[in-house]
Amino acid sequence: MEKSEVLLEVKDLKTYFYTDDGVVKAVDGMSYTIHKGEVLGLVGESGCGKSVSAMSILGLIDVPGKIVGGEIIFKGENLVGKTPEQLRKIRGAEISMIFQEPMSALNPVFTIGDQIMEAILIHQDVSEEEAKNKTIELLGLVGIPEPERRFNQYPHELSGGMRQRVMIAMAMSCNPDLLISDEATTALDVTIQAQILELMKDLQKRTGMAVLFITHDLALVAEMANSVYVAYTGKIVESGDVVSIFRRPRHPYTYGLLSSIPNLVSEKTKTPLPAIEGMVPNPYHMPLGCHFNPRCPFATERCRKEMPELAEIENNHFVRCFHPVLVNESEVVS
Amino acid sequence: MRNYVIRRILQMIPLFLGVAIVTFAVLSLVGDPFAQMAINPRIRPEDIQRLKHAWGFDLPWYLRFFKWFWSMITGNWGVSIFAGGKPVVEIVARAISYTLRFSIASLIFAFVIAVPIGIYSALHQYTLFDYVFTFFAFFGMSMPTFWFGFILMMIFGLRLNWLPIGGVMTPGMESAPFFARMLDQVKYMVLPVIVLSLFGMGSWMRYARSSMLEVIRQDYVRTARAKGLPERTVIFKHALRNALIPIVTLLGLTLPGIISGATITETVFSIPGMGRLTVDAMLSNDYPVAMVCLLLESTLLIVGNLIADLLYAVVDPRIRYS
Amino acid sequence: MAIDITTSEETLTGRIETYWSIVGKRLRKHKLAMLSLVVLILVIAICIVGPFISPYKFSELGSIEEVLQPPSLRHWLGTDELGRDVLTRLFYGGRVSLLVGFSSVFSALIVGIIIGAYAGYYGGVLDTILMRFTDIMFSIPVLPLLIVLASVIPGAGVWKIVLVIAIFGWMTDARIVRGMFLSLRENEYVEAAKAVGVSNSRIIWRHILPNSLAPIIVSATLGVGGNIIYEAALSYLGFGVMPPTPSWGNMLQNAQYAMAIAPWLVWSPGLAMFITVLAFNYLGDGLRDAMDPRLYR
Ligand SMILES: Nc1ncnc2c1ncn2[C@@H]1O[C@H](COP(=O)(O)OP(=O)(O)O)[C@@H](O)[C@H]1O
Ligand SMILES: [Mg+2]
Repeated sequence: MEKSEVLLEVKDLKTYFYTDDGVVKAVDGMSYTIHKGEVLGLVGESGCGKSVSAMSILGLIDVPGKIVGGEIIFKGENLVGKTPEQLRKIRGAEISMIFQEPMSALNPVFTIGDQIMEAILIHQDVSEEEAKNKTIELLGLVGIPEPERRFNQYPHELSGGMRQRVMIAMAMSCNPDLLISDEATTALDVTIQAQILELMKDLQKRTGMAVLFITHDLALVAEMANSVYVAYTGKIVESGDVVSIFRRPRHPYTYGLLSSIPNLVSEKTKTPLPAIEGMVPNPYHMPLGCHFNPRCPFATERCRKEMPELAEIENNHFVRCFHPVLVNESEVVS
Repeated sequence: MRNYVIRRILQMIPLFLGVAIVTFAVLSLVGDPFAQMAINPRIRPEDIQRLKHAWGFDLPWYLRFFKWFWSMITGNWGVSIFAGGKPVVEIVARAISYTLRFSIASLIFAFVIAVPIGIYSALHQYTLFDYVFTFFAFFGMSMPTFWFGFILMMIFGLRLNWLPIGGVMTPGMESAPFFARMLDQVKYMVLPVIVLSLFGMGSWMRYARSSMLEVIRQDYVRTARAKGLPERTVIFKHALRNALIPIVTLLGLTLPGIISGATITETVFSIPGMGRLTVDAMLSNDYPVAMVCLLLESTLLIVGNLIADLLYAVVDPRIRYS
Repeated sequence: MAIDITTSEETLTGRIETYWSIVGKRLRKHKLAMLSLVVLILVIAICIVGPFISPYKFSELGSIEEVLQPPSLRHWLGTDELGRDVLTRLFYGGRVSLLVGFSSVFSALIVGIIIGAYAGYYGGVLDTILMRFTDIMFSIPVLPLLIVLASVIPGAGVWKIVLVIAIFGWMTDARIVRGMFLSLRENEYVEAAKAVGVSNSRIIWRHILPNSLAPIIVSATLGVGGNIIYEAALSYLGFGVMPPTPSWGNMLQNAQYAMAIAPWLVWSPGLAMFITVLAFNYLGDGLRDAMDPRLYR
């Protein structure tokens, strides 16, 4: 696919939390680039700084957190250092976001119509009447039956999948250039998840907006994304287009993530790929050297001392590893 | 909703009966109020016997209870054993008029001041303002009411001589013109109302603060921010509306405190209100008066719970009673 | 297949230990709570040691010249209307007030835990009966009945007051414990313990109770302060600990009438009580923060 114009460029972003118990480097030098109309998948286990990087883009990092370094270039302008008021005008209008928990992301005491309309009224110069019509139209667009009736319902009267559709309608209300979807389908059961993904894909195609698709599930990325960034402990450890990441994963972590997808098997041995052992390190006590070394089957002395740099290993395929895994291209199939 | 209320009211009946029985039983422990008369040689034993019979003190307590209970539910609330045989309704009504005046004033005073402060504190957590008012809240919750009353009396009554230290009005003011009379009574209310509201102020402040703190870390507040709403709207529309839910609910639960919370303050400031009346009537086993007082308080408690639940349904669309 | 129960219990205890060590760490960071703890330890120590150091006895009447003396070098906090040394009485009164505070909370807690645990664990009819009873007790105006009980139960002892306060003090604990049991009894480890035939009472006391301690501890800490005030209020009304045994509350009983001529009689017992109760409240609050389960998600 021909790369188009750059929409968002996150450069060496550092977002730290200064807690009573110490400093958490939630995002520690992350970089990624999203082009117009592209779907970028950001993957990694829970706690790897995916959400924090998304919230940094929106300017929603609160004390004790702080963006301590890097740039977030959106449409040519650096969002880091913009005033809260400038950021507020971008939020919900040019960049919008949907969250993991549809159960708690909607305010229980206001009707869904009210909550969608609100976003329209804030960002667009329209009358209440027009906003209401637009809202009903949006509810129809995201596949909610009987939108007029739903307009006056409260979140608790809707199922989880329906609520997530409402969240999507809300996010789409001002035709954003970038939609951030943070684990938007994680809390839903499998069939609903598939429907929501289908809806997002469809809306993305129709509007041509770019999507930052955050998930811990590589399988979803395969379905949704054009390019993939794998995050671990606040850093990108591997990135590339979706085909090269799935065909030729080079970082042991990516390899491990792939193995957690059930229907991927090693062709040679006909056994599931080995799962990653252990857990994401305690954010207050990061291991020395490569942060993945305690869990890595290939770790050497060097890995325990030095942090590797992100290096281009083939065209547009980057990996942060001293000993990139060599996989026979045909070994991993889905 | 109407069925729910009716069901709840029906459920109150056994609760109410249970409370009546327990309180009457405890009350009967005080014993026969006429026993002491026997010491007086000028009262004839026949007269004492007659009184005992009239008030049922020749019966076991449960029979006395049923006798009293029957006449009460048939609308005859009776007269006081003492107090010159005044009707119970009259005695209680008079005491309530004093108590309500102080309690409602202090409830409003506490609520109106404390809730905004608590919410402001939550929005400015860990600032000087927050620390100062957190201390104030703890101060209010840790202060023994009657001792605080003494201190105010010593300072504003005895030392500065600004305010009266007890009673409800200056003798002779009953016939004064309306405004002069009002002003006089307000002067008598200042110290008791401060004393009575101190604890409430402390706990309302803490409650409002933690309620708001709880709400502002909810996901929907994050959603509201992500929509690009101005911070004003995020706080005053999305957060405040939710933070007020438990606060409004609690309001119903403080209703019973209106009467019983005042006993100590009434004693300190010599106010002839419900708290004192209840205790005095109980200690002399003037059960017609005592039982009405006690059941009135229980009723407020039970009704307060119902009101709290109903208010909950009003402010929170998730709650629907059927 | 034999499942090793000891292992599961060890795992459980292991979890609790790490939980409590985190709580301890958090509590140590809570400056006001730590300060309160120090204040409380000091207050308790002074009340225990004080009487041994003081040259006076709490009931020792002074000569007529020593009646109602303001604070001086001889009597640091002055003397009362019977010429007794106020400081000495303050030590004794503190012992009594703290004793009442702790023991009434402890007794109420035992009743509340037993009722709440059985109601929550077994549910059903037992739960209904116990909770209706709790509702009734909750709907009774406490203070007047407390006063009546205090006046009709014979004896002037401290234990009577403890008993009376505890009789009306267990309901909140019962509700808290019941709530915890209702939710914890659905937990996997309870299911597992049941499946391997651990007895109900062992599950209740060894498995569920340790996991519901946090809110109980907070409620107990706040309760001690509350009950000290309760005793004082009862004493002020004339139904608490009976003279000549001093308590902080009954030392204030006559103070109202003497306040114009002897304000020192008002200040010291009230201040001692206020500081102690304040410390209990701050400590309770610190414990609540430290034990907040949301912090460990
Ligand atoms: N408000 C906060 N205070 C302290 N640490 C935080 C805060 N928010 C997130 N973190 C830490 O930042 C790290 C990354 O979190 P997050 O971005 O939510 O991960 P995920 O990749 O699962 O979305 C985690 O270690 C988390 O504990
Ligand atoms: Mg996340």
